[in-house]
Amino acid sequence: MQRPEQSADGQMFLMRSHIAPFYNYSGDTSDVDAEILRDYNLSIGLLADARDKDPRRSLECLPNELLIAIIQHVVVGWLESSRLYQKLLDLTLVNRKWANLILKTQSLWTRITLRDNLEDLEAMTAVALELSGDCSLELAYQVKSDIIHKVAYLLQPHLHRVAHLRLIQYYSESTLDTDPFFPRTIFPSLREISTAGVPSESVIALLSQHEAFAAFTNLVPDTSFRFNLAVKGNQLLSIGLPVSTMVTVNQIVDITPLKHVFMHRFHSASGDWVTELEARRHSLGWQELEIRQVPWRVTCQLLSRCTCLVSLTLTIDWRETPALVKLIPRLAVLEHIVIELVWDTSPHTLVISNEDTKEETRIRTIGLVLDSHTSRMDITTDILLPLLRMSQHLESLRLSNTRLSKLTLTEIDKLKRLQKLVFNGCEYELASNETRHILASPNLEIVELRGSIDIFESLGSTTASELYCELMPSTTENIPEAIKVSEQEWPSLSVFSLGTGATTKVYDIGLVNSLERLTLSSRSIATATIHYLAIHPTELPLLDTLELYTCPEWDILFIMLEKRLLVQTSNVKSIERITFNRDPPPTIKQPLARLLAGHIVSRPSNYELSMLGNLDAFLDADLPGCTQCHLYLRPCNRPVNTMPTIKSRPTSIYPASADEILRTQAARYIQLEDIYFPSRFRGRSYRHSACGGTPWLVEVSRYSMG
Amino acid sequence: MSITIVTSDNEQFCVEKLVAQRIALIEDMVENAGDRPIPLPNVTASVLRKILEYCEHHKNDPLPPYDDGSRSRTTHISEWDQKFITVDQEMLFEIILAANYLEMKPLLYVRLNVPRVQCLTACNAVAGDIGCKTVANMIKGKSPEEIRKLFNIVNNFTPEEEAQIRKEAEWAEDR
Repeated sequence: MQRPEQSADGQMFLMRSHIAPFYNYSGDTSDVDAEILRDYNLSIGLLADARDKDPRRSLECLPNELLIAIIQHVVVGWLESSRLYQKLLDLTLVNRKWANLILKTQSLWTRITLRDNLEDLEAMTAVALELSGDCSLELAYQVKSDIIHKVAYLLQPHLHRVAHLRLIQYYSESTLDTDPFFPRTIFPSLREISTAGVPSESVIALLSQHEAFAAFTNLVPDTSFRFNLAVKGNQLLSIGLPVSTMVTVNQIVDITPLKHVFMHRFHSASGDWVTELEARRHSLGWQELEIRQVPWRVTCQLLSRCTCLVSLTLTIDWRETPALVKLIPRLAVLEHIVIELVWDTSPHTLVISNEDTKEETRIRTIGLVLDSHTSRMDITTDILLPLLRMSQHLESLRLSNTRLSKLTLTEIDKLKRLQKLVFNGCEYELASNETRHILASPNLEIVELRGSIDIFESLGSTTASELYCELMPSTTENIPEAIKVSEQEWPSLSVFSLGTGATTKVYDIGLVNSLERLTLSSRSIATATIHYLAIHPTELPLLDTLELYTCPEWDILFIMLEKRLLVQTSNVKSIERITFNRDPPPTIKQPLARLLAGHIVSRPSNYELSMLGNLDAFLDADLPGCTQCHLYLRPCNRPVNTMPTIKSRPTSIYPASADEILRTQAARYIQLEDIYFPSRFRGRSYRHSACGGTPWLVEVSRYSMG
Repeated sequence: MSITIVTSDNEQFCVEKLVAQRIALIEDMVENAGDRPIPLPNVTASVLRKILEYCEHHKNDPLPPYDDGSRSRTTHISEWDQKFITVDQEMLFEIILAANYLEMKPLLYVRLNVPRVQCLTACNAVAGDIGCKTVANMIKGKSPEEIRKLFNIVNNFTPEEEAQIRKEAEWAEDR
């Protein structure tokens, strides 16, 4: 029996079939029978209303603690933004309940990050300090900056709540001689401090005034490099610092409660590394260790004492890999390892005995990184193969800057639990007689490929549902004509993200029909893909979500969406939501929202939406705005750099018919990109590329209708 | 060994004990119940069926580690969990409510496969509640008006109140 919504969908499909032959995708619906159009749009609205007004769809049914948990998840994505509290306040506008919950949940307001000298800095800081109530605060600021002086009077009454202090000092940018707090102020609740670029004498002065940290002033390095400490009570739990001698290493080893240790050898220091690690009997309770460029002898001694290590990151010389491979199985609870290999001497392959790789480990994630300055090497037999063989529980593998071989891929295929595979800057070229390698790990879900396009063209997976690609041609001569993801190579793909370098190349696109979400992050690829979908509206029938981290060509986007909506094939889903990297103007957002809701209504003409139609405004030296904002048809206030000088304007006339617009789009796009982004080609630009504001992802859907 | 669970709409489910024990509330009740069926008056059969599907899939997973919330979280949800939670909005809320009532941390907290050391900026070993995270992902990038429409939330501010709040929070608007 047919369900009511199926029946309604059928009716809508039928009504669209009466509209389609009369609509010419121009933005003007006057050729369509007004009565049919009105009935159709009314029915679409009623259907949506019936669905949206169902009380069971209401978030109001969740108790407050779950609503707060949800909002906390939302906030996680905003933590590094200087607009965190603006966005949080924006959420209070939903209704009274949301306002009450957000304004009364003190833990949402405890992060005071004074990074940008925003116009509303004082107001924003005051709000956060007030709403955080009695909670501990995390304060991060630039020492001696204008910013901290501007809000010092607000912070003063709350210094007793500062538990985490993050200080940065940029010598070149410090305009003031003194800091209102650092290093003389005592923060009674201080439990964690991290500094970067702050002179060591000031850090020592700060620590010595705090009982919990005073005992550790001897650990402060001579250099003003990054340094951090975290305590619980009077016990040091975490330390991160540059080390220049064995004396410091021995001091760290003596601190028994430590759980998290991050140390890297300070390169310019010619300290004493000859002294042995002091022969103490105790094992180290470190759970997390990051150790970089420390002599292998010392690293090895430290690791042999670690009995609780869960996570290890280390940078070592490639010659030490055989010893490391022998040592890893002794780290009985190790789950995560990242190894960065560097070369002090000319590299050659080291073959590690199979005897060293028989022991099983608990390792779940591996990262192997080769120094990007070194020519890419195949490290399969050196270290990768033995590591993989001892890591049968491996769930995630990341290889960076390595050369892959058939053997590498064959070994990866044997990993039964592998879910995620990342190749970053890796090289792999198929031999002339070789076919594409289909990854065979049975549980592989996610594949990420960054770097050469060759590797993208060499791989496939029958199980992966998500593929993220950031591709660059390996040589300028090697720009491919097409980017294709086929059913044979990626049959299970539902999520695909693709970015390419800055190029006007118009690719031939081919995508797998199982895609539900498509993310495009470069203009050339977004242009090519949207154009492709406009010409082939029945392709990607399951696609309902488009994410554009670049401005699309609006005329082509509207034509594509309308064609897809009106296509006379019942199994093609309409695109329901599009994410942009900034808020489109209402003149675009509103018709777009209506279109995504399934309505067919008049909208701005294709010419008004096109790059060509907006070229005069772009070239008007009296009209401010960065290039990105001009492309979004919402010019900002960024002044123009210089007077525009262009060689020639596009000579062709913008076509009247949608089919002709699509047919001639590629040539027009290349001409216009040359004008909109002149610096890309000639090193000159009369508008700033972007206005510097943080890109903010904005989703447009039927819920965006005003 | 299996146990019997009775839902609010009086449907009985015979469930393998290993599977049922993923539900903290039931695990607590099993010892006292003996052979008697365990009633779940706040969960319907359709929701319990989904919950049991989740438990069955994750029955051999290690319990997730304690997360003190001090580390940032990844937004990734594993493929199976993503498919599991791809349900209509009504069911999504019912699953969240049921998981909350059933004290289901394995459902609410999913262990992920990316360690902190691998991506210090964004990826950590622990992810949050898949139901709440799914709703959070639906909220991201939306204006208050869009959120109201999406989640059928009544705007109970008076126009004057809303105007006043907007004025006070003017700096919160996009500029």
